[in-house]
Amino acid sequence: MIFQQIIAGIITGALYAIVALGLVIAYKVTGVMNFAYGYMGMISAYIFFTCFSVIGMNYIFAFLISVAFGAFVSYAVERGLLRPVRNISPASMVIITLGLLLLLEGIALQVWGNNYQQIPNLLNGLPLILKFSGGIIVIPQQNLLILGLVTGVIIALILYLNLTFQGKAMRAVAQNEEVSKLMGINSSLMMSISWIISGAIGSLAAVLVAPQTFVYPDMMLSLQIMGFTAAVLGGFESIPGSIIGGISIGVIENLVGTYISTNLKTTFSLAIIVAILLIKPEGLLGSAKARRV
Amino acid sequence: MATEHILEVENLVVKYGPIWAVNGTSFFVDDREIVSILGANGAGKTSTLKALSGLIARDGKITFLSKNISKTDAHKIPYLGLTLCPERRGIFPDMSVEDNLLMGAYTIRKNKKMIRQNTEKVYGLFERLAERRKQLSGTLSGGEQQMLAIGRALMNEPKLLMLDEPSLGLSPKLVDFIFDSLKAINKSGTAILLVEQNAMVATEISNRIYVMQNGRFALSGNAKEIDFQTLKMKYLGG
Repeated sequence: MIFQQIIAGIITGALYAIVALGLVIAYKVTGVMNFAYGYMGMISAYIFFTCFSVIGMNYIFAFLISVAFGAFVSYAVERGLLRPVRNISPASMVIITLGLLLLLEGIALQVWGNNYQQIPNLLNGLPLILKFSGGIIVIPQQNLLILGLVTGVIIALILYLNLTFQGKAMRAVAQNEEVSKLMGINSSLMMSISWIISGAIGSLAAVLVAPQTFVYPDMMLSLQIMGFTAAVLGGFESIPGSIIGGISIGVIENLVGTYISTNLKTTFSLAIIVAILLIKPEGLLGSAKARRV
Repeated sequence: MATEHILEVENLVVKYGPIWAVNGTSFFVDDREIVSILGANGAGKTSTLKALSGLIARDGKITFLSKNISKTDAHKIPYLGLTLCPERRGIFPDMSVEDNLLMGAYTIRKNKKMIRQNTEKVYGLFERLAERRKQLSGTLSGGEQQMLAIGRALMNEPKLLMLDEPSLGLSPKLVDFIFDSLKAINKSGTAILLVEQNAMVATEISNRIYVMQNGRFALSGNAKEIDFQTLKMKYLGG
């Protein structure tokens, strides 16, 4: 029983982790906390719903279109809405993302209505069943898919940022934008790329979670909040931190839901996180170093 | 071949809102020269270098290797052979020494062989960096960080290397070492434009100097002919 809950927690946590990762990569490179992140993903889930359920496209094809759409939306938001005010008022960029959240919610309501739309799992076969002396673990195929895709995305991202020239240049921009320009790095292009990656990840998360949450304007609310929390728990600047943060929250939430109270699972998990942050305010893997101005 | 200025600046103006940081300066740097811009804090020295490297808005005409770069974006300027080693070093603290150098080679990223050669050259110049190549650069000492910043700026083989206060926060011994290295870099064919508050060491290695005061040049001339005491008393605040 407890193993089953831990596995389920890891799956939920994997989704929190990539949402956190998407937020953190955009934040690290451009310094903007994107409060519209989940809602941008929600639009992609609707695009998937429209392509697959309304138009009747192939599942994989619809999937790719919605992720590409999300990447494009993210690029356009950064380039069109945030870049123009970047050097004038960094604080207003955050307000812009909040405004965007409301705008996207409104657009979704207008275009697709307030109904809960269903989209099916990609994999509906027999679940994976593991039996061992301590009990039995059942993992639905869709969850295996989530786990696989999330792991793949995380590995690809880490390899990109640490091994490729462009990925390293992106980290250079995150550390010091001005100096990176002196090296010849096109920092404005790197910022766009970081938002494209972030947008694609957000859309991926939305489409993966949609079969469980259904598609509706606020479908990403809880995933976004938990993604933020995961990022904060991980230290907000750290990619491994986001992953560990996401998975710990997922597991804590599932264990609280099973052994304490389902109604209280969010409250309890957030309380635990507040407690962790009280002890270690810089987050699990954040650095406590003082920042020089 | 007639000596042609590799860098020529005419009437450079830098404004921060209503404040004029650089007020119509003109100067030049010749091939293989070391030129220093001296001056007290706030005289406009850093703004001059930032303007030349395209980091801030500027007016006036900047010609580098016969190319007008007055409107060129900052990230395109190092491709031309003009590199700034910034004030306070500006190393990437969360990257290893090696990766910092690699970033300096961004403009030549397609040429793996050249990167390898230049990395070895930098390690030859600063052996301390070679010993710490895998170390996170944020954990280096101030002197090592300055070596790294200079080494990184050399990675794309600039024709003219600009340095902003390389002596800042270093012990006299390290300052001497850094300036000896600059002389060596210059000997191997790189022209240097130096901005310094430490007028004495800068004058020692320079061919020519400009003294800046309130955004203008108050004095300029051959480094050997400048009366250092007058310079210090009159322009650099004792």
